Amino acid sequence: MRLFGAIKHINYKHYVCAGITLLFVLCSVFVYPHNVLRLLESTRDVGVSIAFFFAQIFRIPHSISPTVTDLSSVTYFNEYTFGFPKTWEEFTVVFEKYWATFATSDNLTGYLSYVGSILYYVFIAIFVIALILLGLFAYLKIDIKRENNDYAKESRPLKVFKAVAIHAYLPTRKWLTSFCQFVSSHKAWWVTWLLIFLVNHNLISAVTSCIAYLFYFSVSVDVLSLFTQLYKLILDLSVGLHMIPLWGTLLFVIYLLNRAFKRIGYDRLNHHEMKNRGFINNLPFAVMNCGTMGANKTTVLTDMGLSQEVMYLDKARDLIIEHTMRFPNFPWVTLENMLKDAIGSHTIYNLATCKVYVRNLAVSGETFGYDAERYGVYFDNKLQHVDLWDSIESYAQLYFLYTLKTSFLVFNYSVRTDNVMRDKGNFPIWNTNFFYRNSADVDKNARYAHVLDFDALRLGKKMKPNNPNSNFFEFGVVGITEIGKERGNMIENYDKKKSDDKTNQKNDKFDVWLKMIRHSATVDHYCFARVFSDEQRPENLGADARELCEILGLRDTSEVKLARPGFFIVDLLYDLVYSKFVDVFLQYRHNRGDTTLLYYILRTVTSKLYGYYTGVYNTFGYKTVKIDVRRGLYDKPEEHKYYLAHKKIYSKRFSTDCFSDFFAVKALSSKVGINDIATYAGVKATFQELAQQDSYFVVNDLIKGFLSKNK
Amino acid sequence: MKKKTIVNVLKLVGVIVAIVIVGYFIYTGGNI
Repeated sequence: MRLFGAIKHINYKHYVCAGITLLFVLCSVFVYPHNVLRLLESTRDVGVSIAFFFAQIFRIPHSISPTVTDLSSVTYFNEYTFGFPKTWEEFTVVFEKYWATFATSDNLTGYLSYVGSILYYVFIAIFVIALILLGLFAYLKIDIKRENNDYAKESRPLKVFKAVAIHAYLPTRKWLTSFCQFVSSHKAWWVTWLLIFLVNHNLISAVTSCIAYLFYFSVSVDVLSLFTQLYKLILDLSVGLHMIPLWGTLLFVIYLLNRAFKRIGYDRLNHHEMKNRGFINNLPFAVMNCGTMGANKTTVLTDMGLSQEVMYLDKARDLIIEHTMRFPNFPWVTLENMLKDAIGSHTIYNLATCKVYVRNLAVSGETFGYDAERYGVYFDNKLQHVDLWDSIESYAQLYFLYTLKTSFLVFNYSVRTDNVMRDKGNFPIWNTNFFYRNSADVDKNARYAHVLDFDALRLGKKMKPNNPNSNFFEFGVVGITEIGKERGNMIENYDKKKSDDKTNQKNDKFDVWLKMIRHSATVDHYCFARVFSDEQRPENLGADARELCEILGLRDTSEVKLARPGFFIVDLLYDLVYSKFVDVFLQYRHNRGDTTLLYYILRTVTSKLYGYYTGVYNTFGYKTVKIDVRRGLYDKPEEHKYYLAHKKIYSKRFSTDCFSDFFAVKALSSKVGINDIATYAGVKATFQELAQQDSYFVVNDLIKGFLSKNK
Repeated sequence: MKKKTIVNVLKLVGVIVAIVIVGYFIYTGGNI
């Protein structure tokens, strides 16, 4: 009874999987019986080759004759050789014959007539499809003209279609989806199926033969037997090509091409990112992006900030590894655990407290269980003797930086970062790739830039005299958009004085802070601070601060390009279908309020195509921005290319209208909208209409000037 | 016609020509 009870509780999908496995096994027995024999043969070859290998290298007398060099005794495949010659001698004869045939006109005309016969079927298929599409298009043209206001009403065929979908298609899809999830979560089933597939198509035999030959070749260096191996490999692989139908092979090839194209796309995006990082690394600590409105200044600023944050994590990790190499036997993990506790209890919350913590440990005589006598307390780097406690101090600061689960960005607008820390309780590793990200996880992994309190950047007077945040900034990436509006230039600040009681641009010593930024942020001779800013014109910022910055002149931005190759067919199809559908869509929406079956299908298909097309462009799309870098006052600007990848910078990263909330509040305080503002009565403005403009020129110069003259 | 469309059509033609050329090599192999 217990057994029946247990069987009853087994998920019925296991029975389905068992049935599928049985079918596959039956296939092995009845469709591919010789392939199992071939697998046994190749396994025997491996055994014999290994025995031959060890007998040879240990010089044991033997009579082992390697079997891997023999042709397969399984005769089943011999008919599937594609005429490929068995021996090198045969191959040379066939090779000559091949090129002799290749250059004959008979062969060429025969091929062209063959291509012609294929084209005949292709054109028939195109003709039939075009005819069907034309018919549907003509029907739709007539259908569109049936004007109505039947809002959200569905036609009878559409209702029938949806009923069939609800009762047949949707449950089938739902079951198949749940079954696929079931199989993917039960590794035993899909691994079994994969193994049976590989055995049935001789792929495992090909690999084992290859292993057998490697053992044999490494001690025999029998180059002449290589051709036999090639012949055997073609024989093994030919089974799959013969048994899998042409459409299956084509689908498999498309799948492989798609994977390869995706890989190339990701590789290109990563390469662009590395080029960007190289460019940023060559810039000084303060950078100002300049360009007209819409030149992507803030986008480039954000992109640079994100890359810089990742570079800091990478640098902290690399320096930590260097310290470990200096004192490889020091129990760094003990120090890390102590640091974790201190960070958790807020004893350590910045680099300065980190230093104090380590110095207190040194004073208290903490040894961490390190055998200093045996392993030493100095590392000779041939420049100086590095003291262990100096190394511990730097390590502690770097570990604090590396394990900080918050963003390094301190911006005057919000930016989302999504580096993911993988931690198993030992040494954590960051996943900092911007491109292999699932859009569903955007909110889950989101961390946002810290609010920039400008008082923290002022060494002089502060806006809030007792501001608790005024000394927080030690390290990080500072981002200031519209810096000229914040700081102003000499003309804008002419009425402000250093002696003013209130803080202003002349007495807050922001420029001094900018000059001294390295001092608080340097750990192990590397500076972990950077300032990125943007403004429309460099001259909008005062000369002192401006000359500390490298000015990047953003020129033109390119059209969107695709890093993934091989997308042109979808591009063409999309251009054709989408533009045609948009015409139909607008006309249909204008004339009709209901939905017909044809319109529904057309809309669904176009929507699917739109989703796929948009997804690929958002994943692999990028733009290039031409940047002029002016290094010296009189130098000719150098032109650089900066890459803006859509997946990195437009994935809910920042809001281009970052000050919009101010304007929203301003607009809410208004009692009138655009519809309430008077329009001109004709093409020529009247005197009263001109007066309504509140213009300096019209009201102050023209109207008031006119009135004063006529007094 | 957009420049992008022209480039894509040229790419398609290029791929078809490449398939026809590779096909000739395979066809010749099958003929000997």
